[in-house]
This record gives sequence, C-alpha cells and structure tokens, in this order.
Amino acid sequence: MKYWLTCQNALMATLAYRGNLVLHLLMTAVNVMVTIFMWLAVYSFSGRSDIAGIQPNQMVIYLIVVNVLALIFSTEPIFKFSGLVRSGNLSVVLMRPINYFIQSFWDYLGRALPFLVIYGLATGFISPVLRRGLLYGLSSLVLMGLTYGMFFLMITAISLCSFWLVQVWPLRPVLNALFLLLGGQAFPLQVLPPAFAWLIYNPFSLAGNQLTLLLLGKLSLNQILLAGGWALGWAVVALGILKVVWPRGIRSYEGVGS
Amino acid sequence: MLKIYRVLVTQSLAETMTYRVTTVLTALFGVLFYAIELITGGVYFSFTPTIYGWNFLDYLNLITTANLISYAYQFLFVAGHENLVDQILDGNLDYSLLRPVNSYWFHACYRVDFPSLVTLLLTGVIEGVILSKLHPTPLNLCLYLVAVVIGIGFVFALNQIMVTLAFWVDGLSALNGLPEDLMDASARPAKIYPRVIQQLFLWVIPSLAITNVPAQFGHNRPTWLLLWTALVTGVLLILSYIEWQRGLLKYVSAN
Repeated sequence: MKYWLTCQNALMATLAYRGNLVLHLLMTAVNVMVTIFMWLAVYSFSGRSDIAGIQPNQMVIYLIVVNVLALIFSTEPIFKFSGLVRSGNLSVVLMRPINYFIQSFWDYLGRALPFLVIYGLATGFISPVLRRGLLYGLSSLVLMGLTYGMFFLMITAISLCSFWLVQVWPLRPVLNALFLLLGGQAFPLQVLPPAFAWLIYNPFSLAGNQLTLLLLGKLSLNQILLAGGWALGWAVVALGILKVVWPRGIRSYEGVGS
Repeated sequence: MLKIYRVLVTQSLAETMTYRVTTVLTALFGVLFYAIELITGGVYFSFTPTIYGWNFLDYLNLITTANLISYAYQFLFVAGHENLVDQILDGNLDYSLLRPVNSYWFHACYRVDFPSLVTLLLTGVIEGVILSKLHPTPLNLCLYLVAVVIGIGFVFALNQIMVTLAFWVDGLSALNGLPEDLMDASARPAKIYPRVIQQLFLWVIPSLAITNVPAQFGHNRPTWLLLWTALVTGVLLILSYIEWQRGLLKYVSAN
C-alpha cells in the first residue's frame, strides 16, 4: 500500500503541470509527424510498398508507438537518484522503512502511467497480439513485463554512477541519442544491412523496436521467446551490477551533500 | 556598445574556460546529434536516389544549413536567453535597467555560448565542402549567406518572443523549447508535407522557408521567398521589441 501511494503521487506529479505536459506531447507529436511524412515520401519515391517487411501504414503505427515507448522508458530515475546523492538526502530515504528500489519502481510506473495506458489500449484495439491465441497473448504480456522490468533495472544500475560522479546530466543526451539510434526511434533497425542484425537485442532496441514490432504483430512466437531471453539476460546483468556496485557506492557515500 | 559587447564576450570566454569539461561535452553532444541526422538521412536515401527532386547531397545541404542557423543562434544568443528567464522571474532586472544601455540588446547579447562555437565551426566547414560540390553561382552564394543571416534573426526573434513571455507566464517552461522543436521539424524538404502545412510554415510562420530558402540558393534554385522571410523576420523583431517594452511596464522587481 505504501508503494501504491508513491505510484499515485508520481501520476499526480505528471498530471500536475498540464501545460508543460500538453506542450511536450504536442512537440513529440510534431516530431513523429515529421518522421512519418519523411518515410511516406521515401515509400512513394522508392516505388516500394514494403521496406524491411514494413508497409507504409504499419510504418506510421511503428513511428507513433515507438515514440510513446520512448516516453514510457524514461531515464528520469538516474537524475532523481543523482539529486539525492548530491544533496545528501539519500540518507533520509535510507532511514525510511521502505526499499528504495521498490519505491523508485512504483514512482517510475506512476510517471509513465498515462503513456502505459495508451500503449495498453493500442495493444488491445489495434494490435493482433491478443487475437493470436492464449499462448501468444501470454508470451507477449510476459515479454512486455520483462522488458519493462529490465529497462528499469538497467537505468537503476546506471544511476549508481552518481556515487562517484558529481554531474550526471551529460548522460541525458547520450541516453536520448542511444534510444533514437539503437532503440529504433529514428528508424526501424530492420532497415539496416544484415550485418547490423545483432543490434536488435540491445536493451534500447528491446524496449523500443521489439515492443513496437510486437504490437504490430511482426514477431513470431520464437522471436518473442528470443527477445524475452535477451531481456531476462540483460535484467540479470543489471541486477548483478546493482548487487556489486550498491554496497561499494554506499561505502563511498558521505551523506553530507556537495 | 561594441566595447560593452567585447567585455561580455570576454566574460563568457572566462566562464567557458572555468567549465572546460562541460564545454567539451556540450560540443560532443552537438556533433553526436548532427551525426544521427546524417545517419538517418543516409537510411532514407538508401531506398531512393531522390525525394521530391532532392538528392542526398541536397538533403545534406538542407540539414547542415538548418544546423548552421541553429548553432549560430545558440552561439550568439542562447546563453543570454536562458539567463533572461531567470532574471525576469527572480526580479533581477533592476540592475541592468539602471545602466545607460539598451536593455533589450544588453540581455540578448549578455553571454556568448562558446561550446556552440565548436559545433558551429564544424558545421560551417562541412557546409563549405557541400557548397563546393553544389557549385552555387557567386550571386546565389551571397544570397545563401543573406538567407542564413535572416534565418538566425528569425530564430532569435522567435526565442526572444517566447522568453519575454516570462513577464506574464510563470512555470510554463516547455514554451521556451518550442522554437527549437519548430526549427528541428522544419529541417526537411517543404514538399514532404501536405499542402496546408506547407502553406502555413512557408508563409504564416515561415520556419520551413527559413531552412529551405538558403538550401535552395545553395543548389542554384533561387526563390523570391527570401524577401518574404526577410520581411517576416523584421516584423517579428519589431514585435519582440514592443513585447519587451510592454513586459518592462508589467515588471515588478520582486520575485
């Protein structure tokens, strides 16, 4: 229950600054439209009705969904944690009868809730995922859950560098760039030459590219299992990093702020 | 005025030297996002040699010119604009209003962002190489440069108008990012958009014209739209000046 309150608060924080949220969504929509018009022009002038197995109308949905996913998979926990370490307020959080990581997860979930609802509705109404039988539907839901958990753990593991770095803001543009390129936000990774096929199982691609293709019904059951296996693998790596680095970080943490 | 500007530039340089790592990182990120645009452009043109008559080199010319305008604005004005919002909201304008200088230009030119100079120079060199391959006539090259200067004026005026809104609106920080997003969306050939959007952003808020017009001069396709962009930029600059003066009447020196 105490964590559910955190989730509610995070949702309220997202919805509190409605003007900023609306403008942010508006500009995201404009950027998506730019990419959509560019791709439609590419389809039109190349004379192809299919690029890397994706038809023009599917490309439109791909670009919208991958941008919604970019909003869901935010990197905000890194900067929040950095703020706690730099101000010394992490001490207060550690004294509370809560697990910081679980609280952080519910906060992460609460902030992304409006976008998760959009993704959920798209899965329910547009996507063929839930109409392909129980096994396929369940596997898809497991992949979504695994990927969400994996990405949160990855971001949390990265946030631990705040124990040693005074400023972590440079990570923001780097991670945005990684999601753009490796996550398939700028273009589906499938349009790249076959030599780059291995890129689709990086954590950013699993979160952006693969979950979008899943929604489009472009992943076979085998591909879902493979993506799920990779997500689990990355989650284990992130957990391992957390287990090793957290105690060292806490030892180096002075708790007085900087 | 020039003497004051020299002092402000010197102060900016001193600050840049103090935060050397920040300077290097900011320059690197500018290059990183430009590289992503190049890769994305390369992906588009790997499927078709031309889009609405633009080949890859024309497209490179367009996005590099758009970046050139953005980085030139950032180098000259962005630090001043970022500072200005805080100054207005914190009620710290009194000190500059007491000085015997034009407060509009003093705040607009308050700081120069040296990290952007690195990316500006790099983009300038790349654009030079692209233009040397496109062979614009001397007249078109001159008009290209004029169009870029008008573009910088346009982006400055848009940002100045948004920043000055802080006299009336508090807390809507996303407003300040609007001009940047608008210019990012405009760094594409105008013809990819439906006709209504084209007309809107070529004539009413001519952000598409600001990026497309110099690119067209670059590959020897002169256009009269240059005159329209000059006129609109002039009007926006005047509007921003009037807005500043009205804002000062609204200003109270308390945060």
